Amino acid sequence: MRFPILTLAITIIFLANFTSAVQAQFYEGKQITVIVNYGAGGSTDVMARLVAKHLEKHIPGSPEVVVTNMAGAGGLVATNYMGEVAKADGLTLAFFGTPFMQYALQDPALTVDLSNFVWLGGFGQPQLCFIRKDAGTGVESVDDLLQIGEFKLGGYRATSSTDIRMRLGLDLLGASYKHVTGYRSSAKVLAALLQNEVSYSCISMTLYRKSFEPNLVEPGLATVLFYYSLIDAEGNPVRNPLLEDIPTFVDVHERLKGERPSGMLFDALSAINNIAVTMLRGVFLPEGTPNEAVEALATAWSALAEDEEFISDYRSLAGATPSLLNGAEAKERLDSIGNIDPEIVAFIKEYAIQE
Amino acid sequence: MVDAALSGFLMVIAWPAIGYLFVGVLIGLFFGAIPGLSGLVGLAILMPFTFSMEPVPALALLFGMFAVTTTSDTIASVLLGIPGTAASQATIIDGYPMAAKGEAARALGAAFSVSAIGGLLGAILLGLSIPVVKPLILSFAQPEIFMLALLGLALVGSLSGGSVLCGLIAALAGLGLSYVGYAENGALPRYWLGASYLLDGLPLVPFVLGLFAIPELIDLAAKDSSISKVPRSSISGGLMKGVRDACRNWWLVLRSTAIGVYVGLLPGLGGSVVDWAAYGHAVQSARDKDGFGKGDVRGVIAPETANNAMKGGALIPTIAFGIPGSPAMAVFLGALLIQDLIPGPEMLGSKLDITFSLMWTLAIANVAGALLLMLIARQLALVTFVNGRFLVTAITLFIFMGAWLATSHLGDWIVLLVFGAVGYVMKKGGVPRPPMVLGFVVGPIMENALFITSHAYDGLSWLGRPICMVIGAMIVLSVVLGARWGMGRSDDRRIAIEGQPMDSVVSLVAIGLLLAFSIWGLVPTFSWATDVGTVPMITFMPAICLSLAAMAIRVRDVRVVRANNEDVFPVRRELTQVFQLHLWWMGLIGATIVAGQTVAFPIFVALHVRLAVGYAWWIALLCAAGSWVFLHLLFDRALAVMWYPSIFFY
Repeated sequence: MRFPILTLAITIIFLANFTSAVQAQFYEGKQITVIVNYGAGGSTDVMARLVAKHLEKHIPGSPEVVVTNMAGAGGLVATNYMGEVAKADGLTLAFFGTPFMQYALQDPALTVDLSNFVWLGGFGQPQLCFIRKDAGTGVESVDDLLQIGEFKLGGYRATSSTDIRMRLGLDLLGASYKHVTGYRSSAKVLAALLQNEVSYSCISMTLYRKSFEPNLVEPGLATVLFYYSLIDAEGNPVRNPLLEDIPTFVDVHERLKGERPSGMLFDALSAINNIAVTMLRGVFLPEGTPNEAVEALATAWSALAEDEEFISDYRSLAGATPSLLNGAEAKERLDSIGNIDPEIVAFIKEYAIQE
Repeated sequence: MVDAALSGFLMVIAWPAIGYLFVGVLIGLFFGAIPGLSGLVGLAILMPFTFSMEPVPALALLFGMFAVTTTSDTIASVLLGIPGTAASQATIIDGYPMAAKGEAARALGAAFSVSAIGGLLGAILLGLSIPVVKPLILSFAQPEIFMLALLGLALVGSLSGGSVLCGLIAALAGLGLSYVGYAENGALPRYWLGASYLLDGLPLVPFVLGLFAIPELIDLAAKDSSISKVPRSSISGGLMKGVRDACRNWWLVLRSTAIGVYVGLLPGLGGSVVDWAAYGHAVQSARDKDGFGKGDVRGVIAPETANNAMKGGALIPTIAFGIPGSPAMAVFLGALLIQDLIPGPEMLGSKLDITFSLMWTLAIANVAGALLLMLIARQLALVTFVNGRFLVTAITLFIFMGAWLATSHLGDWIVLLVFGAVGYVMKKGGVPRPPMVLGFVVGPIMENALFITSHAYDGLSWLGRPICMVIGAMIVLSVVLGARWGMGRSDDRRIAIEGQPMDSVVSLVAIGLLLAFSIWGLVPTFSWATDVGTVPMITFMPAICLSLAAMAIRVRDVRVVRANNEDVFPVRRELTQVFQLHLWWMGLIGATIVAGQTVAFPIFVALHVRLAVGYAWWIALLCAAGSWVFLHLLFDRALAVMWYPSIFFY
């Protein structure tokens, strides 16, 4: 009886070595170009350069990894490039701010199907919403939100996923607000909040921890209200262990309105929110990339989740431990947004441009 | 505070920080000198190397690099008439004519001196303003930013050389060009010609390189002379003269430093505006304005002081509130976070010594960078005596690659050549180009601030904000003074701009082109929503009226010139050269599509040096090999540029 087990063990060891040998051969002496679909210096770019630096050491065969930028059309130029021009030779890797809104709303400028790419993974973050304490007639806690009269919401662009989520949330709660948008960058939103030009906004956990909390909340100017968590198929919030002391949007809705949120507004919010929370950034390869390359990179990607050095650098930059999706999970998320009910799509399109 | 300043100093001069600082300075000088590269690109590339470093050396490397890109960017602006970075566009207006007069070394001497002084004073001002900076930044909200943008536009008069009317038309056209792409409210793309390349707007670098560099290349090729019109033997010791110029104009240097620091301080204005603001101020405040545009050293001193001083100012909102005022500062913010330095109260409190170490880095880097360049300035100035056609070969390589870095799309080259043609007819037709760039850089700031202001405030109540009223008064003053000055000079409109004799026919073409563009721009605005259409509408309507007036004046001019038996169309004589040069460029683009840049450029260089310049084959091949090494080492290895996916070599 020992013999077959030994054989099996040897076979497994051999196969394991063999696969890694094949993978090693594939990238030996090669250079991988990581394309970022936004310009140098943006938050996607900074994150891409961090990930590329750490990913490099986990790829069998130690290829050189370089990062380059291809900005344009809100990230779509590079997305179309990955689908139409980039060679499927395993040497071009996309690290993108996923253009999921354009995908969900079937933007004609997006000429490729995101679900055709070979997805390696992705990550996203919950978004936190906060308000200046002097907004309207004054806010001490989330319970006051509906009684303070009109306040101003600071947004990025009318059609950005953040703007739409902010508005959907406040509309569901029935708060009275004025939508002021066009700030374009989180830096300008922060300035506007400090200047009391607007009093309400939402921001990803990273920027909340690193920039908005120390400058707005800690000095006592603003208070955090809730965060947009992942919402499961039954409409329940999936709580984030890093944000234990902050209620989710669903919790707040229940508290203020006495019931779980539902209806078209909530369906639209869940559809957009779920992908933003998990897939804000996506990593993928062109369709038809050879298996050796995909496996080598997938191995490296999963090794990243265990890499102490990476996690510590990521924590410094983002203020939280990274929660990485693997390829299958990323693909699943993406398909879910590709398959949104056409009625909801039409609703969001209409909602985005109405005042 | 003194303790923190002292310990910050000791941190920077300790090994290895000081070593990294000097490495950063060398890299920064290189990135500033090459058109198309900038401090932003340098920061993005260097940042990953600093992840594993200690905070002070890491920041010394990054900030030492960033501090001096605006010192070395003068080189291309003065010697070649091409902006080295966006912050030295205005330097061209007087710097390049100085080179043509054989005064390149003097211009460089002045520029490097004031870069060092501006950077140093900017750093000191940064240190001094730390306690009072918070209320200052917080009082400039969107209405104030909008008024500042308008004040910037009011500088048009100062940038228009002899022709205020043409300057206004060019500025309005520049504003119009800035509306290309998604509107500020995001929902509708404007003037995008169905090209997704244009959805994010025209990229600045190919636009400016086209407008300024392509016409200079055509001139070099057509005249077949070196950039300096004066032989080398008649020039002596200009460098020290430049240094003395800098000292003599100390009052202008101080004012330009203040402009630089405060433009840098306010988030959202940024590097491409600061040089124009300082240049405009220099012209406005000068008693004798006639030399400007023809090689007045003050036109070099003001922008070059301000663009280095700006770096100190730009750092303040980044470290004090975590509000980066520019993309470069956003990368720098990322670098701070990686080092566990959280911008905000902490950087002004317990980590004040780190903040001061940045100030010292800025000061040391600025002085070191300027001294290094001083040592080689005389050699650099020799470029202006090199065979003009040979320069065409070399500059073609630089500006095409510089433009390519914008988005790595063939659209970059199309924009370069289209605006090259526009720049050429504007230059020959006496329509000033600087106001067009000013309009282009101010346009998005203005429209965005106006859009937000109109939604965030009730009606026009914001006009009553005290700072808005002060800026409003400055705008009125500026316009009145500008108009008075313009009126005084209105008869010599035929004396041209930028030291070139004006061609009447080309002038009609140039104004006709801007008129056609304005009409084309106006038409769709009537069917657009208010938020999207109003600003373009109020830009193009006056543009059309002014263009019609200018056309009428030009038609009369043509008659006058004809009656005097002078040539109305002297440009005719160089049209063959213009055509030939474009054939070379088309060939380069064609070869790129077939075989990619790494093959196309060496072939272009070899053939151009042999056939157009007329050097021997072995020199041509040597140059081609050199160009390949340059492309490979800098663009492929260091910058990892995305090459064109050509038919054969991809």
